[in-house]
Amino acid sequence: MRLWLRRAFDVRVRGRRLVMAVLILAVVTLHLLAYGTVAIVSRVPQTVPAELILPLMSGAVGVLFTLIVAQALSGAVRAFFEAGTLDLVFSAPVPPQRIFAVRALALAVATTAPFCIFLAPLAHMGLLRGQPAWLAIYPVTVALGLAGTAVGLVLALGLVRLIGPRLTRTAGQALAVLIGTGLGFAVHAFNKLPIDRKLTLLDEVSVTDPASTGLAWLPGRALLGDLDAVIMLLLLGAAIFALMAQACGAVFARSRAAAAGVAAPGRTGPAQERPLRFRADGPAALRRKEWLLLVRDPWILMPVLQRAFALIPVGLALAGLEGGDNLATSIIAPMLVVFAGKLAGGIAWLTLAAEEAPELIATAPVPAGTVSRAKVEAALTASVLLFGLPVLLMALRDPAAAVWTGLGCTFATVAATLLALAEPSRIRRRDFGDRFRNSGVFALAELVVTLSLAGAVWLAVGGAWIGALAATVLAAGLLAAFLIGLAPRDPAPQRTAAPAGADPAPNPSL
Amino acid sequence: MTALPFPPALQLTALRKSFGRPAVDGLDLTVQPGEFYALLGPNGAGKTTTLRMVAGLMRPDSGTIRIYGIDAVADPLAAKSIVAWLPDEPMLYDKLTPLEYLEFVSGLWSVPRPDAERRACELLQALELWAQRDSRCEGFSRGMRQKVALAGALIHDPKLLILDEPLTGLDAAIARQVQDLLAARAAAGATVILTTHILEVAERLSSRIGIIRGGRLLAEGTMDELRHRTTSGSGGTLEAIFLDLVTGEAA
Repeated sequence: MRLWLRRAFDVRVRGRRLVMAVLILAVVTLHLLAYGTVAIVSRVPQTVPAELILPLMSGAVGVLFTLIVAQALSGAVRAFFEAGTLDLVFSAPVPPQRIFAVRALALAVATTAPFCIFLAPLAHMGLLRGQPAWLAIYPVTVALGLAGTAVGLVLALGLVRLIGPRLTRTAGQALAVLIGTGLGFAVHAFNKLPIDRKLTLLDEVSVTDPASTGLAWLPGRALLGDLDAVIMLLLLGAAIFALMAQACGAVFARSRAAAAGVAAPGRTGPAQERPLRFRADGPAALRRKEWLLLVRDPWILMPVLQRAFALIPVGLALAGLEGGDNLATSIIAPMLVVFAGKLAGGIAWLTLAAEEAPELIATAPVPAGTVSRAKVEAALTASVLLFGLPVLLMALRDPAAAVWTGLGCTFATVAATLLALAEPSRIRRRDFGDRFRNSGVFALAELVVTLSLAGAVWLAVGGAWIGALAATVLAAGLLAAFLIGLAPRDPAPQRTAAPAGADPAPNPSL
Repeated sequence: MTALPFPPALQLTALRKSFGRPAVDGLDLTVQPGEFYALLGPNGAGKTTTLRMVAGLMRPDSGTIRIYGIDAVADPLAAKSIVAWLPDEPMLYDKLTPLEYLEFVSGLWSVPRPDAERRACELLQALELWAQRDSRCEGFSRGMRQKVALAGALIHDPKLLILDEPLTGLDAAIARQVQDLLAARAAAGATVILTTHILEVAERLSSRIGIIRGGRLLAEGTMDELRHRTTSGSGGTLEAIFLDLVTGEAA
């Protein structure tokens, strides 16, 4: 358990003081954003009919649950292909059920912890505003984490049984994407319903007496702070997890044994002839290589697609908006900025920090600056293509908001790319899923800057110019501080110039 | 002083590199154009560090590196344009096919399109990779990966080919293919410098052999010249000479 948890949370960082500074900044930023969110949500009872509050809360729990299941499924699929540690542990004289239970618990902790980190500030700010019911976020998230991990593991095991370990690697990631974004499409489908059908549905789900409701509304009641419901939900989550751990241990051991013999996925047989694309142009060759690698790797493609796919319901929702619907735009605009920042961060990290053949590039007669420029161009182009479409859609409905959103997305993309450029460590592409662990401080810095920019765009779209300007200055200041603080103390090594551990400070020009 | 009309393919003068302790300690080495030079030595002798400095992957602490007369420290890009580096671990992209890899590498070295196409076809056929040219490298065996990497190293027709343990982990058939291709390159005028622990390969392929230990050159010459240097009457094989020199020096 300690080994798996350490693998999940062993964030590699340099400099304790720097880490503390980044963490404090991240915590403060998250709490500031949470304060605003709590203030908005606290006004909901004044604008939404009372009988719809419980369904609304249950819907929120549903969204959280699907995201947790998607995360757990993705983690469970990765667990099947874990090299080394699982084989070693399963070869020990310990019953497979016990090993599986421990592995599943480690997965549950690793899956739930990020959700707790991002939701906890809501609980704290709710408490600060004199609403202790917000503290229910903690137990509700834990209960959903246990149940969601159980569902994710069962889905992964089912996929292995149904389609085999080789296909599971890709299909599992794809299913995680679908689950993670499915509710977005459901909300869009609901929005597209005729008004009378919508009203009928709302009437059907409305709850006049929350105390008399059954199990279906239990999560919603728990989130509203009903102590009995909280306890029941926790017990239910633990029971589902324990049942799954008891029932699936042997299946997991067999599935793992099958997965161990599976080579990396991909097209290995002869393929169709294609025209030759030789060009005596180093930067063009670098850009093309980066784009090919980005598009082809399922471990990379899926998380990137997950974020890109999440933009589709957002785009669809935008397409369905009436002109001047400021509330919807003000929600979607900062979301787009966050998506753009995360997408750009992932893509930039892959192209700049995860070079697979650094020595090949370092021995090529291409200046280090040209290499970096070509890679940055490849990363920026890919990111702009991905966030460009929803911004264009927004421009059709609300050009002013689209301008602010486009600027925010561009700033977030550039910031993420600059941070990836400053990242000194070299990481394998297949460790993309562990990006946070491998480049913890940089991922955190990217998140803080992106959230600040999202806040700036939210304020700009709402017409709060001074606030928007202040948030933008804050984001720029944070970015500058991170770039200066995180810059290597030694003469900057060319990331692609030297293999790890070979030369502490190689000459960039060599 | 008048420059020679044909500068050495590689000239190292008083080359030093230290990682706390000296890895390369005042090494002087000259390799002439067209030579097949084997650099031998026990583990930690400084072979790889030396070659990495020549390939431009490390900066020397002091000393000079001249490649066909080009100062590799002062003008690294000019030096890199005529050098190929092949380490023991193939530098490949799993998701690219051999043909895409060669397109990428030839682009980096700005090989004109007609030359790149012709060489790619020749290399893929010579290394028996033609049938797999459009299959991604991720499913390839180690030997096939090393062959793809070798094709990449040769696509820009380097004048100086540096290979660090290129035969590690290859089966006999693939190792022979690689050796034949390297011998053909040397016969065609390219300079080849390789390190290997397979002494039989060095003995069979190389025109000259250098033996280093502790970052210094212990001995250098053809097989005959090395035989004359040994005093233990060790029977004349490279293995015996190597052990005689290395253990004798250590004692």
